[in-house]
Amino acid sequence: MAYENSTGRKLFHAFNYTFLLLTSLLCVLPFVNLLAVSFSGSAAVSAGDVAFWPVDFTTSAYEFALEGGDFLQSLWISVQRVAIGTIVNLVLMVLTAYPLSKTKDKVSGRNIYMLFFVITMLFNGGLIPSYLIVVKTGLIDSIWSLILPGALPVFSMIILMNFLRGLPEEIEESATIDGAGAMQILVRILLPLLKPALATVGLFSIVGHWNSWFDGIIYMNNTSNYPLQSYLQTLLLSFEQLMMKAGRDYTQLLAMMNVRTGRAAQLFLAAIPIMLIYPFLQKYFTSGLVLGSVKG
Amino acid sequence: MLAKLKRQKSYHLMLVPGVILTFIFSYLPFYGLIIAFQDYNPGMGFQSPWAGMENFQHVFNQPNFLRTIWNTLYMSFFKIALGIVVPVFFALLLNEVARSLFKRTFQTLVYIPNFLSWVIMAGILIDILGSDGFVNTLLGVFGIEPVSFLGSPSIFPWTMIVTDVWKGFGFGTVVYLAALTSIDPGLYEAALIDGANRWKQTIYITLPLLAPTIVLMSVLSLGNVLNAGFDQIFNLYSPVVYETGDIIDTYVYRLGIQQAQYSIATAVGLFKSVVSCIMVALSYVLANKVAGYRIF
Amino acid sequence: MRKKWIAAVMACCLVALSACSNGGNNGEAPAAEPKQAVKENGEVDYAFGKYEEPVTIHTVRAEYASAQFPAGDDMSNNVWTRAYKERFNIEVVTDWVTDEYDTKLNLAISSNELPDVFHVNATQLQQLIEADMIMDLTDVFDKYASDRVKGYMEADSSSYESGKRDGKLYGIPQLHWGFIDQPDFVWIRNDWKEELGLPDPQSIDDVKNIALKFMEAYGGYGMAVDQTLDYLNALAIAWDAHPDMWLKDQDGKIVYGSVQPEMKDALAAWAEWYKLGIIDPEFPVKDFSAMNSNVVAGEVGVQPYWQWWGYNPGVDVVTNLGKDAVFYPYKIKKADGSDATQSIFFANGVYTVVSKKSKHPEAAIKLLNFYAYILDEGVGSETPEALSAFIDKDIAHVTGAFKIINPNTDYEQFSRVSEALASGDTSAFTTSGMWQKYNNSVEFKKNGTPAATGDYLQQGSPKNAYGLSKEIIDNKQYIETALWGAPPEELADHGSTLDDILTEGFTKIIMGAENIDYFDTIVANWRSAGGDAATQAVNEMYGGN
Repeated sequence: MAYENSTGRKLFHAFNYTFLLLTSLLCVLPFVNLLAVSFSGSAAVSAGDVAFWPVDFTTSAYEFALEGGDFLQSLWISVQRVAIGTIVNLVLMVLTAYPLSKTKDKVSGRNIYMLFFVITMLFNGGLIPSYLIVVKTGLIDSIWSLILPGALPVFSMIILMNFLRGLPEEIEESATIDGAGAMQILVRILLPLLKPALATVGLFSIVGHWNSWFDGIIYMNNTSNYPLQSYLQTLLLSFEQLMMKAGRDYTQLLAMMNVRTGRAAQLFLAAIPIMLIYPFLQKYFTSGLVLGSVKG
Repeated sequence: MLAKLKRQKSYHLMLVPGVILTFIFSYLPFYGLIIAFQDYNPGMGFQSPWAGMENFQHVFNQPNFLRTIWNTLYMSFFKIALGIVVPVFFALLLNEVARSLFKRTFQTLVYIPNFLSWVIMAGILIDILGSDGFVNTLLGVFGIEPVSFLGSPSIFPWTMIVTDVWKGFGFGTVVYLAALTSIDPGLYEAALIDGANRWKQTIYITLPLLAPTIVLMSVLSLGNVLNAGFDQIFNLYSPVVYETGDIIDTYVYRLGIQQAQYSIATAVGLFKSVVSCIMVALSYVLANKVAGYRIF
Repeated sequence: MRKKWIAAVMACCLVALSACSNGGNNGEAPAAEPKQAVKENGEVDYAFGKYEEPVTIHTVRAEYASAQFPAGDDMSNNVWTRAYKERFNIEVVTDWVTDEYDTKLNLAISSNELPDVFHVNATQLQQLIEADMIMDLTDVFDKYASDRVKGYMEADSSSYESGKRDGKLYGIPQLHWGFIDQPDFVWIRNDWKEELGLPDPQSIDDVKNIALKFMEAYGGYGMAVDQTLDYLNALAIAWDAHPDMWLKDQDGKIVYGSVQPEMKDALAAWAEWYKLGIIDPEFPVKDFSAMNSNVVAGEVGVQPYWQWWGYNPGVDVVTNLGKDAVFYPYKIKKADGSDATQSIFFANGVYTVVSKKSKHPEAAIKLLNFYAYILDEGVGSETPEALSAFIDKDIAHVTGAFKIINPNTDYEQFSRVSEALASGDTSAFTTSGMWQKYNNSVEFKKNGTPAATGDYLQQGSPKNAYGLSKEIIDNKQYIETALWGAPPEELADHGSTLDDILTEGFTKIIMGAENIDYFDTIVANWRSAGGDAATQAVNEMYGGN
């Protein structure tokens, strides 16, 4: 291994490590800056003194976020949305993926069903027509408007289907001989085996529901029904109004925080849940990629 | 025989919920697309008077619309191209790192931005790219005049391209790294004996073996040429950068919702859907032909 | 077998869908006249009579952030909604409150899911009339509107006419505070101006020089404007340009002010200002609140603005920087020192409309009568406390669609308030508004109370906005827009796209990204993108008279 010890190689390694380190920092430092801004005094932030460590440490931006009620209200809606939405997604995906993992000899019309679902991946009805349907179904302003239109994520369903196809057929056959019905087989035998795949698509759903904002803006008339990301989206434009609405003495408030510290605090709070499940995300997203590319 | 029929029946029953929901929320909006060919009058609903191709003609005569097509293609081309080059490059460098602790750390750090929503990312970018934000403060240290990253029409598209690559390259890196680790180490050993240095090994072994994955990822992103990133641009643009930053999706949003041009917005949306659909179908056919990749 | 089943589901859904889309068409006639209280002489009290049976109407509202509600109250439950219930037996249900009213309303219109009573702008009014979704209010208005409200309509009959189509009344205009609130001014920070011993600006060049002196002494940039260019455009009259306004040229043809050659002069001057650092270098990304937050932070001392500077950002400026940091208004003057001709626009912005499906259109009229009564006749007939609860702390602005303004209010009010401030004799006061303006002006002089800044700078200060406005109105130093009423359809449909072209291009010229001759390119773009068609349509609709 003389090669590894050559000067050129060492030089390369030095450069390589530096480059990788800098690039990695580039991906993280903005968040560190955000965190530092959120804990800094407004004067220091306006003066551009804050880099990666809070200046004039204060938690008032966080207190403001938590006392207003709007933030917590939208957080609660997001939590409900993620919980209900993910469960609905998982149930529908499993119910759909299982029959579709069979060949068309076993499930007549299997390929027609498949086409039926796949078309929705290729084509959509667009903004106004989709809105009209949500109105006609009476879901406007209800949390179900954020859940039902995307109740069956087709791509994730296909991942599950491919996973099911990869399981040895004998598992099912022996149970069939014992007289178990399709539903029993699915729940008792296949579901436990599906766990890793379910974790993957479940995390897809969690992240998807947590991060989506546009449907909230369109389908929720009352601002008080906005999920967290929709609420944050409106704050990008109008944080100042929020501060005025707070009913506190505006000057006092301005002395402690400003638009930048206040917004930074709320953005950071919204990023925390993703950071918390990040280790799982990393693991299962990667394996999901592998699952997804299993050939049919 | 009877058991078999019963089994068939339960398979179909399992498919019922998914079929119904998909029908309501994905297929019924297709019917709503007829308003693209009507002079939509909300009072009359889908019985509005027919307008034939008038809406399409109107919009294709708008210089603003042609501009959005160009902007969309321009930004998505560079996003796709750099979205492949950068992670391949990064994965190759990362693959040179021997210590797995470092390797994992770098990988973890660059993967983080991928999971946060564009709302949060936009909030961070607005803060750090502003005139008194972190980046301009930093530039000021080196005596560089503040750059208007989000307010200058000539810079804005590149701000979008770079930040999009920045947010997404961690994902690509993980994909390519997975492909790299599956390369048989025996090949490198053999090359070393033949006297090939690391550079030559990369050219003659690594890249050719990585090629199928690269081709696959490129082909799959074909379907996105008309999606230049609504979530990103909507949250970061302003009228002053419409000239270079307005894309089809943001144009549809403004037309359909802010200006209440329901029919024209739906027509533009339909046009985009049809083109996208062809591109996606094409990309799957290509992916199958070139890389043997099939999703179903 | 399967196929049949799928076909059946599809058929069901299609039937359901078409049934839904038909649902909106059966406009029901209003129910027979509901029982309501009678007057002393035995006649039915149409204007103010209380219903015997409770009546429920639905509405939607835009958030009004600066209203300061007492604890427990909000946009949908407050002193007004309780009064509707107590005095009229009308239960007003607010379906939603939002920050993005037009967006949500446009969506609601697209799906034909409208509340009973709501506010619309001229474009939406047009669209709703065409779609046959709102009610012809001609007879209901005649029967139920109070004499006072009818008087308002007479006082501004052109606004009233703009709510009609083919002689039928569809939208009741909210009206406005009169011409007196329209002139624009240059607002200049007074403590800085005095510290530097600068005289009042006598020409537009003086304004530029004051801005330069401020920058020299206090740093920052010279003048606060925002990305819409509305604030810079307010100064355009100093170059005889009238941006955003449709006006008649020498030949009597109606043209758009933003694309006339005078505008080029204004832009050339602004480009020079930008180079000198006077105009906020960041203005293309600053919206209204970002612009004002710089003013509040004390970073800038000159701002072209409307007459209500004292309310916003004035209140915050005084809170943050103290009483002496107020800005005073000055008339916009041309380079030769003569007064600029102000632009007067068609002032009615919104209309109250009633959905065709509503059962009680008359309830909306009653509530409008009530609003006019409280604002104009409240003094004397209501207790001061009750009146204060209805009006003060911006609560007067939370009523959404149930709001109507006396178009003479501000002119009369200002005349009496300024007389009273000079003489100390308040006996001529007839409305609560007069008392409010008077008391706040006195309060600000005495204690510098931030909340009183708006009224003080509008009416009570030695250099007040309405004093200047009154001169402008009395001396007829203004021209009126030729587009006096609702815009024609071409303009309603594409006006904002057209304005985007201009705003974008002008911004480039000001920032120096393009030289001034680019103006001709912008105008050509504007014309081909629909500007010519819009001009023609405006001439067809308003050119005749």
